[in-house]
Amino acid sequence: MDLEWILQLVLFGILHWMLAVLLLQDMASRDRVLGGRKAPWVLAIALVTFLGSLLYMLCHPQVFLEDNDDDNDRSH
Amino acid sequence: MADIEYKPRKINSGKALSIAIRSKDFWRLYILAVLMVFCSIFYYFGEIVDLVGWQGSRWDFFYGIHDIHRLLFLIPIIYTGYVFGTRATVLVTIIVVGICIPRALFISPFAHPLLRLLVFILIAGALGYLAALVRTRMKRRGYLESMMRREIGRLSALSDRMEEGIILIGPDYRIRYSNSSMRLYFGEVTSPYCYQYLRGLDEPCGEVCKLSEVLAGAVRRWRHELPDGGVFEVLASPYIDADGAVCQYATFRDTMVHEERGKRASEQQD
Repeated sequence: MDLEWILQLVLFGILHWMLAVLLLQDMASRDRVLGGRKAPWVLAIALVTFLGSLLYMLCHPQVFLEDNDDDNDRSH
Repeated sequence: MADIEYKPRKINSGKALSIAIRSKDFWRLYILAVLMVFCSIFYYFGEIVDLVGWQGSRWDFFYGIHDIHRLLFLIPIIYTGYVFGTRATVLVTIIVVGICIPRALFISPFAHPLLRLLVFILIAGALGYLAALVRTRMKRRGYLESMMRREIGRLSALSDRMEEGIILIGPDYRIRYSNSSMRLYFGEVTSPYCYQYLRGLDEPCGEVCKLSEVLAGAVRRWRHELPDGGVFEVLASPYIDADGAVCQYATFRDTMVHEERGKRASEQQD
């Protein structure tokens, strides 16, 4: 495996875990998630690179409103 | 006490949709989604044209180096920073990397595509973060200003309810504030200067004036007599106003009212 591929993998890893940590943090602070159970979402975010996170963000757009304190409503 | 059964209110999907549409956040997210879709289509327009075979749309612009096309992603990143804050900016920046990376890895025939993408994303992320910072500071400032206005209103209401007249005089003899009791005793403040308002003079009161002593830090007490026989007990002390200027804060106590009250109280006791 050449250096370029290793660098690409490291880059992917950093991005994936940054996204995963942010979303898992959000999920931990949320009372309810789509589907009712958190475990499948944790697995999807942690194991399905990018797509799991993207799906979580699409299903829970409130993620973006976290520090938007105008009229933030975390329940759905 | 009878148990009260809690029944959650059911909201039908139509009503939920209308509530969501009326929300400000819905439209903010909608704008973000539209921006992201538009930027992605613009970024991959050359490939889309090739895939669909729109011969008429084969413009050279979309087949050049994509650094310029990528610049368009600055709009959703900075928008997110300004509207949603820091965390959303990080999320959107990572999503933009996810959108741009297939071109860098598999399509771009130019040199160092990944490096150029990384440089762009670092700059864009920093700009988004700065926008989020500006937003946070503006919100904080707005919050503090509203708090200050509320406090000023509260203090003003408190001083207006006092029986003593209160007047704040600046070092230039200008009246900065007077409460409603003061206006009741001396009338509406028609002149900006204290000597005109309190004594009807055209220039400062001279030796009688205690302003310079009070501004130097002394607390002074004296009796202020009116031509109609009214007498006020005045207590003046230094006060630093919001602009940092040392002013004279004086309270005017109507002695007639208090003497009458004292007499009535002693009569009642007898």
